[in-house]
Amino acid sequence: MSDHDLHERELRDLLTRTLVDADPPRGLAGAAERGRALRRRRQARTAGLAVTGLAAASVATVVALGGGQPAVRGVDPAGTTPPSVAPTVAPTVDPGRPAAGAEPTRPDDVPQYQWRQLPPEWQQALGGPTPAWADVPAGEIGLRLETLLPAGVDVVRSESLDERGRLGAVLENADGERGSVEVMLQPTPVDPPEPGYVTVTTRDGDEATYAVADAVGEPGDDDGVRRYGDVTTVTATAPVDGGWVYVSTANTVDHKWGADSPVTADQPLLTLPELEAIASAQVWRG
Amino acid sequence: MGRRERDDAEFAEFMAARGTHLYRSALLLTGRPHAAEDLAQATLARAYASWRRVRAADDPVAYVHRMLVNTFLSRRRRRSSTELPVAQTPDVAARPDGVDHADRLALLASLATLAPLDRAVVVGRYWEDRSLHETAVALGLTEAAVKNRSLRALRRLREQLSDPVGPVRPATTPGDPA
Repeated sequence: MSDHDLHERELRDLLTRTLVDADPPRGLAGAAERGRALRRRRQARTAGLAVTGLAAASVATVVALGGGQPAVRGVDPAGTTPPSVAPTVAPTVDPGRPAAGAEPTRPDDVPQYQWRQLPPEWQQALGGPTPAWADVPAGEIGLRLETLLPAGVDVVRSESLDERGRLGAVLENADGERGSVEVMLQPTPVDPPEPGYVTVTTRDGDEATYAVADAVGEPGDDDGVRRYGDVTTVTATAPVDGGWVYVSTANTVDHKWGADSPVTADQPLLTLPELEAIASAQVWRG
Repeated sequence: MGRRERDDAEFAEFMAARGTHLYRSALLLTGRPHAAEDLAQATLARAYASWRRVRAADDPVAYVHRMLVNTFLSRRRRRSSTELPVAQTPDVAARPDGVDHADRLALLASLATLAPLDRAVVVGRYWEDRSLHETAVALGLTEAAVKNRSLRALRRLREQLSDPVGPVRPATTPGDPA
């Protein structure tokens, strides 16, 4: 067992042991009453928004007829607009900054996206264009990866093919052992727009509100060989101008790598030097 | 029984079953009992107001936990510019019932040194026992980012909790004692 595993277990134990008798000082009985008040406020705001929505629709129609930009909208203050997962057309984007002094209100179930996970055209409109070297379809990443794999190791299944800048794939070696690999082309994170929410108005007038989470950890944090029970992961990163290439592999084909993942090979199919060579390859650098 | 009464009864049942656990999650996130109580209560209030959506979720418990974390992170963002850390906090290691909670305080103090999102990762992974994937989805991060953040948080906690001179005291907001 690695130190890491040991510490995870210790931490779980510590959390359970120290919180076993932690009870709320005054109880939570007031939650239902607060909930009723919240529901009343929402219903009142929904009624107000219905009127505002009619006016906004008229403005949007006028703008569209005039060939201008769609109406700019802020964060849906009441969270009454169900957010769509992704627009079907290239959107124009409103950074969603609330007016000065306005307090942004978070809808209950706004999908959260990491800044770099926002579609490139949104990032561009929000001031952080995805560089061309990272804006690569997953399928293309797979093709490039195949040219870099050592003899006897092949990609047998690619996943996440609808993504850009990231590929997850299953590898197989000459002995029929399988493992997985993940390649990410990671631009240096751009600070997300405050306060962390964006509302996008698509050209057909739909709105979607997104929360933009903080940036990822530092490159290289996870480099090297790590063991989680029987699962071994190997990770390498290499810098690119404006970001880094991250390549990681494991001796499991599980989607989520962890100590409970079923192993499909004794070791990952790629070694650390092989991964370092892949991460450093010129093919990722345009 | 009408629909609203049925909803109320279901919510009451949910709160009885999960309220204390939710409070404990909130305590790990905020580090302070009264702030935790307020966070848990605010989350449950939002769950009540959206009860049909909560009930319709694949995993209502995970859904409400996600609401808790979102509320916590959202509040952190709003308050970050006005919160003033102070050096010392009231000593509450020994409670009137004589139970020594030094370990809990040390743990909460160590957690308080983590970034809010790292704290949310720790709570999701090691207290809620969520998988890497579930934690990533809940926080809108990639699994690799969750791994990075967990490893970094574990390193930090290990250093803090094994520090022979004692862990760092939590930063608190004046007027909101533990």
